[in-house]
Amino acid sequence: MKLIDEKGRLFGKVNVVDLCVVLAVIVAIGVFFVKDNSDKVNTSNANATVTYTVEVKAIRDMSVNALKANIDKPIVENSEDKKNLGVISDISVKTATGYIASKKGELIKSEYPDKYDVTLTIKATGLENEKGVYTESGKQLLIGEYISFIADDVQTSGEVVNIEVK
Amino acid sequence: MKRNVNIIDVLVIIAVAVIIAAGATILSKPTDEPTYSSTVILEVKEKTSDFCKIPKEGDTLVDYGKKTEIGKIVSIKTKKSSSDLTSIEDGKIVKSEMPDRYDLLLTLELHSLENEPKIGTGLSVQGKTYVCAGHVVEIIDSGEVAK
Repeated sequence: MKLIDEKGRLFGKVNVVDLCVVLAVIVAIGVFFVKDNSDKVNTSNANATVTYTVEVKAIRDMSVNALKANIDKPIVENSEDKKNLGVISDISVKTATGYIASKKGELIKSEYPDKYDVTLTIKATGLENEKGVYTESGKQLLIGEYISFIADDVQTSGEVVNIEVK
Repeated sequence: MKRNVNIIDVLVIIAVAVIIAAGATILSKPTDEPTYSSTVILEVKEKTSDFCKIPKEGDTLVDYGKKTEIGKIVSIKTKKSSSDLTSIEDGKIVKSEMPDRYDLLLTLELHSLENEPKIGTGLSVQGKTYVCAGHVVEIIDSGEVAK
């Protein structure tokens, strides 16, 4: 029996071109899967409570009020993935301050008339492994990172300043 | 025996070859590109005292953008941050120490760098639970890695 017959079929059964196409599709899917998952973390066993703090600086009262209306509501990352970042569990607000200098370079603290610094406490289900701390949605949490997020009817960004895992 | 070559089949085979070549290119790193190893001092400006307690000597560092391991922290120094502010009295720019703000000076041993770091090169590095960005202010040692 010929390996490939006159009709181009392997062992008289499968068309060689069809086989190549099937193999190419499998390779393409494999390449996509390997590249897409190379830096992803398996969070299927996420069962820890991750509590982290985000400082949002110098926003106006309309944004403060919109954030307050989102307590106990979920927020998502302002990115293509829209990863779930958890639920806002607490908000504290204080008047934003800045510094001006005297002639000798001494600092004088001054309050902004209509700007506020907001500290958000966010709770999420997640996990900690040897690489870091992740939310269940796969978002790695890093102190010092500015995250941009969307709540129900407000979007803003802030710096992660603290992370606790229990 | 006469064999007919179907033009569609030829095109399909060429397409398959292109897809396989593209996949191989994506998966394999170029081996002829040089990589660099360097020991540098990275200055990270105006961090809080709380943040300064987090990085530790020996921490493995990852490139924040590419998520690939690039080295480790060898030593850490901190100094008070100062900032240029405009004096309200005469409008001149004066240097002022910022309250609870510190500049971190991280000595880093870096490897597998695609580009040789220079003074002024910006780097964003992340440890297990933190990320910080700064500029190289001193090159202690640097060179191309032998292939």
